[in-house]
Amino acid sequence: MSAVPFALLDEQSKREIRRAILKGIAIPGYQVPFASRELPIARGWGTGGLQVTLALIGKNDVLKVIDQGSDDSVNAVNIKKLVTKTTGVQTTTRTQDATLVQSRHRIPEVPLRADQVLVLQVPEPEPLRDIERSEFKTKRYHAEKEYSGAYLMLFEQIMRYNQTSQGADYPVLVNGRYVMNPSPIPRFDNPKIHQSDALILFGAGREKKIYAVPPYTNVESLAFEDYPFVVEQFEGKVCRETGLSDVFLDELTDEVTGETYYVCNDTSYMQEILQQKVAAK
Amino acid sequence: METVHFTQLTFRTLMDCFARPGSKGTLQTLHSIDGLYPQTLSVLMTLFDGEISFQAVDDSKRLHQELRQWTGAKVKDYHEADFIIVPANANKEQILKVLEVVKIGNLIDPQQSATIVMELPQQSNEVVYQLTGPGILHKELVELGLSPDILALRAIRNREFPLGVDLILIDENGKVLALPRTTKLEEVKS
Repeated sequence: MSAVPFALLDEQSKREIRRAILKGIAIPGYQVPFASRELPIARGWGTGGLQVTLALIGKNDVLKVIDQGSDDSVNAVNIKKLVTKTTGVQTTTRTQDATLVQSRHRIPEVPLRADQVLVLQVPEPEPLRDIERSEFKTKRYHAEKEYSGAYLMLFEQIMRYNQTSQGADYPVLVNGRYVMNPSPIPRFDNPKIHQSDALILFGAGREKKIYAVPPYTNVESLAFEDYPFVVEQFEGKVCRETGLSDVFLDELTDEVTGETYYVCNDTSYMQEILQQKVAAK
Repeated sequence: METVHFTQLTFRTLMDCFARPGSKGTLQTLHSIDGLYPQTLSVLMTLFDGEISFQAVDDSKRLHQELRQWTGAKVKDYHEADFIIVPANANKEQILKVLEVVKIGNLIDPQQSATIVMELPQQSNEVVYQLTGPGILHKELVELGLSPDILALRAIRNREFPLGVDLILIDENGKVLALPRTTKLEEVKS
């Protein structure tokens, strides 16, 4: 048996992914089809993001992988292990120290810089899939910039709940042309994609699509004049550990007392703040 | 350097250039063939394989043959090729004729468009352009030794976004710059 290539994928697979990434950057928000290789993890577990990461990564990269804001959850740990075993690159939990960040369902609280790249794992890249099952047809809707279906979904939510109830994967309009699923990040993170300093790449392994938002690109969350876009509100709630209130919070229940409490969702950021507090004492 | 690491570095340079139009990247060299800058070959080795087709603006068949041997890529006509190679010795009339016919994709599959890898000859009359579009914070000023006629035709072919062509420009010092279809250029009169 021959040795495993650097970064697992063979050169031909990488070339195809790399060509798709360049097209994706040239057509912001457009889903570029790609072959999507078999990997040692199952489709639907971050294989799209992983393939993008493997096509990008070099010996000098420092990798951070997050899953729902956590560096230590199963998906993040396994992806990190696979990449380090096949590349030998360094990993980090500190957002500031990473050159490459692969993430499932969050954009880190620490703002990303121009020399960093964010790779997001995407389960469903098609924002119109809920209203149209046929890929043949949704491709034509995109071609004709026919996005009334995306607005209709939000309209129905407003009719039912008097607000949009779409918690994650809230659709955005990229560069005034393509409506795009930003992957299941909370609405709270949507504004971070707009005019980002870092390049953001999206990989959907099961659906075989790669797309991109270049830096300094206009990204607007869909909304109505009388129902503007709003992010999750955490009024009066603070992180129990750090006291932060301007971050995305997780709601948890104390199993002994039954009391509801909140903690910072981005665990590495929380740790950093706690360390700063300890150092200050 | 091993090829896997070489193509990885070359790709990251290209990706940065696409993500930030107007910024110049430095390409490394590994091999060379007659008639192309060695840095151009680095780009072709990174992007070309048997899955894609190309055509070079070149009268001799030798370059085509050598590139096929190097990469396994197929040769197709200008209007069908995925990549167009413009060597430094191509003249303006040739380039304009090619740019007129290369594929720009269709509204359903805008990615089925040509990428033009163009070598810039040593130039004296460089023009300053102001670049705007995705990837550019406010605006970027760039000196380019590229004929205004070529850029005017590029603008025509890129008129209907998402249709259009993407350009990779390589100068004789191995500096690379990308002009994806989203980038708008405007001449800055001094």
